[in-house]
Amino acid sequence: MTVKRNRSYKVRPRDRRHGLLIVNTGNGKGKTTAALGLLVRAAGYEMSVGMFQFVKSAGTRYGEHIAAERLGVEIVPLGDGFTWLSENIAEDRTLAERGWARVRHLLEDGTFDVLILDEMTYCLSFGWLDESEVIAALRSRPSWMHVVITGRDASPALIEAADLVTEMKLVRHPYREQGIGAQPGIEL
Amino acid sequence: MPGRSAIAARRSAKPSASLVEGALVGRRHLADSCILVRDCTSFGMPDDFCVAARAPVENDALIAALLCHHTFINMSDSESDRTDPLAPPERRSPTARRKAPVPKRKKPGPYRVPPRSQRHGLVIVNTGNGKGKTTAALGLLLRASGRGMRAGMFQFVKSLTNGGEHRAAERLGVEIVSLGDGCTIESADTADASALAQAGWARVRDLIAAGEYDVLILDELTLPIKWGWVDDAEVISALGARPAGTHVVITGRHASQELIDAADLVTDMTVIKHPLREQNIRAQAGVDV
Repeated sequence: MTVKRNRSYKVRPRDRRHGLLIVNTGNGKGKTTAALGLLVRAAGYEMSVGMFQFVKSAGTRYGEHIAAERLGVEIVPLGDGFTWLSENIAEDRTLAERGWARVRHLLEDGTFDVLILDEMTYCLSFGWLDESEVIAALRSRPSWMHVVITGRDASPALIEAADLVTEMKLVRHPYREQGIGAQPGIEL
Repeated sequence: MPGRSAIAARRSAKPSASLVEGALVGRRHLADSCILVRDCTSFGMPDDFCVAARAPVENDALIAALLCHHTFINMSDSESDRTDPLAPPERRSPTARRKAPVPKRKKPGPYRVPPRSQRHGLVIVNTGNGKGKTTAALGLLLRASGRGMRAGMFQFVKSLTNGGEHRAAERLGVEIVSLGDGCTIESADTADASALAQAGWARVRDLIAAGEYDVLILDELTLPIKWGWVDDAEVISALGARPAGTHVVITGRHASQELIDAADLVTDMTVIKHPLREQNIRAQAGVDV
């Protein structure tokens, strides 16, 4: 009879943690969703978690926003809706820069154990933020801080700087094969 | 012209490295002129891309300009025998006959979960060797619970019951149930593990049929299937017979082709970099467990 092994994990003190830079990229689904899963795990251990969404507009309130509040985690939308629907590119750039200023400060001051920067790759690939400045700020963050960056088209420099990179590859998609659109509870 | 290179790279079958690089530069140039180019892969149309200006009047001007250069857009219905790499693909694009989309200023409102009869219950498979299979399923659990749907995760193989996700789930009021004993096919004595997996499957099969859950996550179910502990065909028929509007998520490596064929949404998580492999950093609470 095998004994049910029930290991208990503890969050290590900050000086014994390896802060990871995690990048979820690729065309498939699951980039933001996996970041939400990390948020759940970290919140379960009472770590302080912050999630900042660069592209979602400020009024957005999806299932994850509602549930995360119950876990005591705030998910902050910084953007102005999906970029291609916005009418003013200068405004988007300003929003991205303002969002980054806020995030850069959080990278320095160490409020959060886990910081999730959702859809930030777009700000880099559209050239709204200076990539080398972003990477320098990520590299100089406290050694214990986990940072998760999601979005397609992660640049080679970002991948180079990261510790854990997963590419979500699309194999089958309900919209492509069956014309089924986004549904509450699954996609939003 | 930068725009030309951007479009060429998407359309030609095998873009050269210099062409792709040109396209990236072109995309940035276009972005500076307030024109965004984005691919449509996440909408299930990997051969299409979206070119958008900002204000509707600018979009109209862009469409008019592209129509003048009908190398780029084929609006006629006649069969094309073009050999130009810039020509549109033979397959008619789903957008070809549609009017140009007018951006809507959507006011964000509360999303309502439709009744079961109006939902498209999905079978979702997260597979591959990369990280993020169970983690993405946890994200779905969070979303569904935020929508007030009944969601549960049943973990085959795993025996951990007090990881971060279990603690958080308790606070959210969702169930994460461990069905395994941590034993894999490599373990010395697999008889118990195989019996556990079968008992776990029987339990989950009844839950699927009972239709009480809106979202059911069967974590690592692909492994007992691969090891022959649970019958693939039985799983697929149970999925096919599930009550309408039930979403089922199955995670784990080595999803069988039959399971992939039976699914609506399949994502392959691919490792590009892993902290254990590159830096020998082991699993950490809050990230991996």
